[in-house]
Amino acid sequence: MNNQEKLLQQLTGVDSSKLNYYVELKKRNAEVLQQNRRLGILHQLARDINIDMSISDIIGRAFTKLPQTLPCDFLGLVTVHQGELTLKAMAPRNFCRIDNFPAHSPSQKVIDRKKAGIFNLKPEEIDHIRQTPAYPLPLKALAVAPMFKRDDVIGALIVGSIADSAYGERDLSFVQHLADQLAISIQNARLYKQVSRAKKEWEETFKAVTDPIFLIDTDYNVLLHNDRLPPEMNASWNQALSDKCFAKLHGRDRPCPNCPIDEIKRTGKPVFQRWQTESGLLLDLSYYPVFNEEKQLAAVTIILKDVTERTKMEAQLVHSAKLAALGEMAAGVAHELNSPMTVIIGSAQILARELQKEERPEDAEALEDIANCGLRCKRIIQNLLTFSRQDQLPATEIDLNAEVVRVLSLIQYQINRSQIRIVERLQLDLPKLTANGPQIQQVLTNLLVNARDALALADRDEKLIEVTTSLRRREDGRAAVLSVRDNGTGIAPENLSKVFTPFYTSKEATKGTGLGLSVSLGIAESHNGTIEVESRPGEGCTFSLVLPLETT
Amino acid sequence: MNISKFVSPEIIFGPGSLSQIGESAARIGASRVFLVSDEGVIKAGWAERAMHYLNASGLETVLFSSLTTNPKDYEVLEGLERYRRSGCDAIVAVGGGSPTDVAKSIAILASNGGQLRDYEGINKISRPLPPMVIAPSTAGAGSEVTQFDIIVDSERKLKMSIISKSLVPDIAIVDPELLTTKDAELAAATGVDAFTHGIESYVSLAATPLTDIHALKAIELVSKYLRRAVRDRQDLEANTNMAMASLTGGLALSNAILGATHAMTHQVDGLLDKHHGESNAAILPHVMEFNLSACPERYRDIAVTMGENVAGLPLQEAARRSIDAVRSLLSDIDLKKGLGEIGLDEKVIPQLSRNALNDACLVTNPRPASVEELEAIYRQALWQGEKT
Repeated sequence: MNNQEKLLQQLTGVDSSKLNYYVELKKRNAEVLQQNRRLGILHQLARDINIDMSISDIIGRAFTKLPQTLPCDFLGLVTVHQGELTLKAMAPRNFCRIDNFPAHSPSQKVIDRKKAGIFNLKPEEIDHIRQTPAYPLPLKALAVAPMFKRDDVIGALIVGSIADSAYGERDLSFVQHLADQLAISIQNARLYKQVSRAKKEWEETFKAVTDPIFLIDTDYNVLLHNDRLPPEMNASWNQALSDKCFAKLHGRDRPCPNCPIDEIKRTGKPVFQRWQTESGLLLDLSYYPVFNEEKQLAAVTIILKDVTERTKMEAQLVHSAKLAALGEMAAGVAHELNSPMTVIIGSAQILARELQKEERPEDAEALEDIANCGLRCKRIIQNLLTFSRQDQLPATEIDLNAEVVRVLSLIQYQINRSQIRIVERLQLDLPKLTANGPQIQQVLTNLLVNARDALALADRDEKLIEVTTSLRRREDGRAAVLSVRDNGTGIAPENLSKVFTPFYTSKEATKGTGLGLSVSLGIAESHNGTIEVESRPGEGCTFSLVLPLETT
Repeated sequence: MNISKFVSPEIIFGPGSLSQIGESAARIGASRVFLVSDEGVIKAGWAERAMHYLNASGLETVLFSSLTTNPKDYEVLEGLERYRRSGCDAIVAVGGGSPTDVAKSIAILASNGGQLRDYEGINKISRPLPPMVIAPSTAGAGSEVTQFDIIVDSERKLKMSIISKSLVPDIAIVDPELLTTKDAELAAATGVDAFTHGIESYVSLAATPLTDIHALKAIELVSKYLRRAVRDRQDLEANTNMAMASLTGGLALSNAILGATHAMTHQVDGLLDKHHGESNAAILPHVMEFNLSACPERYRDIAVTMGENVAGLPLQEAARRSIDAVRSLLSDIDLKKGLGEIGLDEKVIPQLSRNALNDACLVTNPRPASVEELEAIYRQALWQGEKT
């Protein structure tokens, strides 16, 4: 067809028509629908991508969605770090390998220009892409969009197709949107990782502390804790019906009276408290205020420190120091008394002997009484000296019965004065045992004093203390048992667990220190033994020092 | 060329048919109408009448009339700016060829963007135009039914031809009453325009039986009624037939295209800013002489249609009678000036000839023309007096 004929045909327009609005509308409609579908996919991706997904997972997810709206046989993500390009992730996962990106590579161009581009590839333009044999068909077209972090290019998103000229401008703008979306997702994932690492560090720090720590909001709810609660408190923790601290820690259904949180709300300053639990623990509680950005109290951190052991040791130390001072004093007094007593005894014996010779037996007897009482005084002084020297004395072979007799000789008089009868039931064939005699005496003295005090309050016709020694045979070996039983009022069950707690006392403040039993238990434990309590309210109670004969 | 196509808008014809303009615009989806007209038509009251009908159909109107004969590209840009700013959604033109071509040009740019120059040539328009209704106030251009849009490129000083089926308006309303207000000189010039359309499309290489009917009808009606219409501007019968001549001429040219006369006058009009009818009158007889040998049968048909008695005459002789008839018609309506007399400088003829060679209308001319031949025709048309 020559030029004129062609022009004629154009002019008379067999091939052309007046443009039709319906056709135009359909075209626009199709564009809008495609746009909608693409927005839908972007939206779906944004929703699907979890904050803790890896870049590889994100690319994989996008790759499953893209073919719905765009030719997509390959999706890759290239990152740039100090000018070096790396193929960070791709789908399919083993599509290809790219060891280095030459200057003419589409990714490099897009990253340099900071502008998305369409690339219809000649084979030599992609010889840096080493496709695996599983994907034999080469990529023919790429749409590459830069990924930004603010104004910096941090990488590029590559969509590839094995079809020729697969992409148009409209596709490119979609790929750019997708790249923007993925850049945000990847940034979020990165930030999330940073934050969660920092969070983990703090959590580990929190959990590494062996003292229980709680975070409690101003409405008493336990927000966090480091799971270090002492076993004695687990029951109340697990049975609590709510998350409130008063329920979890104290088993209450309303806030504790004088709750330190109220004080913190008022003062904004830390509060320190000591708390004796039902289970016999002694706890130091530190309440620290936690403020929010508006400088308002947001929560309270509570640190519990179990000071039961420490307090016990401190008490023992104090008691030991007291005893040491007392012993020193007693030793001094005994020493001072020894000489005059020797004179008194000696003189009385000489006089008694002379009066005997003078046939005045009644007078002699009186003087012998004086001498005997003097001797007794001397013995008391001797015992006092022995007792006071407890720390210096190492464990030796002792006869438990002898120790009992020694203590009773010292203290029996005092007890008898309180109209209390002491009954001795000593097992005579007790084997010797290795122990610190004076400490055993100390324990027995303490038990006797306690029994006496218990009986002082009791309304009994006959007040009785029974001191028993016996041999106990058990599977784990034999033990010598020294028991002191009284027929006093007994101990209420709820107080039974507290009796060994330092500074717990039922006595008047002037009379007791609250240290006796805790120190006694300390002594028993240092002999690998223990102290057992048995109480029948209204009938009395029995404290038994159990000392194993064979060390296991 | 066995397959042909004939395009035409919906045509409403008859005295008083302007009253249909509101309903017509509403029917094709208008809600706010951009009304393009010119000062003459406004002065005659037709624009106001049209606005009345448009408003009566519930349409708002925005009037634009900043345009001149042989409308310029910058006038179109001004109109486009107004169109966009006023939020109109349809275009109505009431007036002669100039407001019609301005309306078409605004429509092109409104939906396609870019510059008019981008659409010069054939089938360059890619998007449908806003709804268009055209009511002509002159009988000649036929632009209300054509796929042509002729606009002066003010920089290159020539008429650009934009040709696309999308330029065929949706509705043409031809009301002969509108013709009564134009003066005799304009009636003569526009009449010759319609006449030229008839002759050129009848001898066109793209003519088909369907276009021939319209072309011959235009020739016939102009021959019979143009003299009366020029003599008595209030002669409704003459005006109605001249309106029909313009309409049929338009349909013929839109589908069969034109020839060398228009290819050449387009260049002159771009330069001189004279009415198209005058340059047509100066060039047409000379182009007919040039083409005569290519299709004498067709020229004989024209002579017969113009009422010449050619019985018994040899073909060449009979064909030549058509040229005589044309000359006598032009003389009767007092269009006797040559191109030189209307202001063309002889020195520009080589340039005009080169431009004419590239005009789309030359493609359908029955006899191929070289630059030299076109130059020769221009020179012959320079001084009418010398030839007669």
